[in-house]
Amino acid sequence: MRGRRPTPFGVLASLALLLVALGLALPLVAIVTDTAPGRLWDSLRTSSSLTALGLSFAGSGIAVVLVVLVGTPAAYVLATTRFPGRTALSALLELPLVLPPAVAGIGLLAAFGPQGLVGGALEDGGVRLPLTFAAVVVALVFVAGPFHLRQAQSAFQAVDPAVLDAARLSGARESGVFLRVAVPLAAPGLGAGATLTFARAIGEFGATLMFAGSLQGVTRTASLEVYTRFSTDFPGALALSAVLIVVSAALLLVARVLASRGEDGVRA
Amino acid sequence: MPEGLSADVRLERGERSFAARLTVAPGTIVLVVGPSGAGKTSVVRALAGLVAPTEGTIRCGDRTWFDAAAGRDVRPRDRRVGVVVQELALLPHLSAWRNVAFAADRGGGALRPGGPSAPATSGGPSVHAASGTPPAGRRTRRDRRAEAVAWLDLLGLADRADARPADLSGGERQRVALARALARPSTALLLDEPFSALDDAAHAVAAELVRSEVARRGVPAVVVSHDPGDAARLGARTSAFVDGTLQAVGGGAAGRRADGVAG
Repeated sequence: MRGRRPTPFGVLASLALLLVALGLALPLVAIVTDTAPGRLWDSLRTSSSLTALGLSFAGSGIAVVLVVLVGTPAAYVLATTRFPGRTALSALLELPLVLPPAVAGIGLLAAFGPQGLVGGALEDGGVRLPLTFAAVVVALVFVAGPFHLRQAQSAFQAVDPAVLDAARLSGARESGVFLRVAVPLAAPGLGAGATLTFARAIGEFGATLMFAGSLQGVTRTASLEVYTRFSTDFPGALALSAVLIVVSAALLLVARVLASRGEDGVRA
Repeated sequence: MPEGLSADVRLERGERSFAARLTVAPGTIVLVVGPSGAGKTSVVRALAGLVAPTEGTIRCGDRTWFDAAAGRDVRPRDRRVGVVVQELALLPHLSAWRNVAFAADRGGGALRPGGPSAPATSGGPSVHAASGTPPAGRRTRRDRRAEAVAWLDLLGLADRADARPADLSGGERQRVALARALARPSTALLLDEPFSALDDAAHAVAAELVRSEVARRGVPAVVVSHDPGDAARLGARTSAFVDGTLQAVGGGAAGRRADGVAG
């Protein structure tokens, strides 16, 4: 390439990339630069900020564990077996990725609310979900779970079926094929999926607000705390936002590295 | 003693349908030859249980593995066969010796090379007793490694035991796949092009190992090859595609048993 003039298309495409980078980065840069380091620490020290961050991390952590435990075998079945309606089911499971969070929240209320599809039965059994921490976890699982399902499904699809058959021919049970062969080979992709789910859960707002409410110290996660503060304590909201940006950026970076490692690993 | 392996099936391969008739006596080898695309691999995959024939039956010993009319199709794992598939399909995350040990651990007890002969019975628990090896769970990593390396050593690969498949050459990978197929008791051996990537010396060693193991264990074996010389190397009868049907053909080493020659 050295010594050649850039083509007109190359110049235009590079400008487009610059525009995208600027457009996406500007609000993020503004948040970080508007937050003076001293003020950041002061407003973060307030107990409601720390409580909100704690709720976000605890809720997201529990949600990821549930999603990984149930979603990983589910994705394996979707990736490795053929059955009628498989494509439709895959699409349905990805629906929460594109739904407006408000619709997700309404859906959860319609299902688990007091007058909901199964909410009445739950209440009779003494379980009341809405406005509890458990409701936060349910909302996070619903909205963020599909990230892991989707990533895990493609990670399992990338595993050579002949290798799984070879494990069966070597005497492995189906559980052994899954745990000893498929999971280790798909591990980077599974890690990327879990990381993306955690990142999405940290950022969840709409479904949590509608289904779990915004009770300080119970269901008010960090993103809800930002929303609560922005009219009364803008610097505080900025500071908390800055923390969320750093955490999310780090998580996305981890997911990227794991996903690219997965691609290398499968080829080997 | 089992009556060997017999198959009389019709297979579909893409648009084409063809028949295969095979009878392999215990302790003998049938070499399947034919032009590429004839369906040799499909036959091995059907015998292993990876694809289902459209009609016919497959029997091994006193068990029926497949019976289209009766709707019977025994899972690959439960056929307990030692298989080399054409794509080899080594487990890419495990070293060479762990690939071999993976099969040995799940075979109801490892077979030691040159140890007492132990053809697998139909899932019977007596196998470890026969091979004199405690079950996988109780064997230490050192024992498992030593056994796996002993198999690799027979194929001249002892020094590559710790390499991952990605770091092995094509010929080395093929020998690891062969060691994996041999390293546990099995009711039959099904080897699809097990020597194609080997040089002449390694080819002769690997063929002699297959021949002696088949004789020692008294199991039926099917070997797919494009090399007609393998009939003599293995002391095998030959089956070929005649009029679109895989069937036994006369001549060559036909009928010669593999045992007695092993050393």
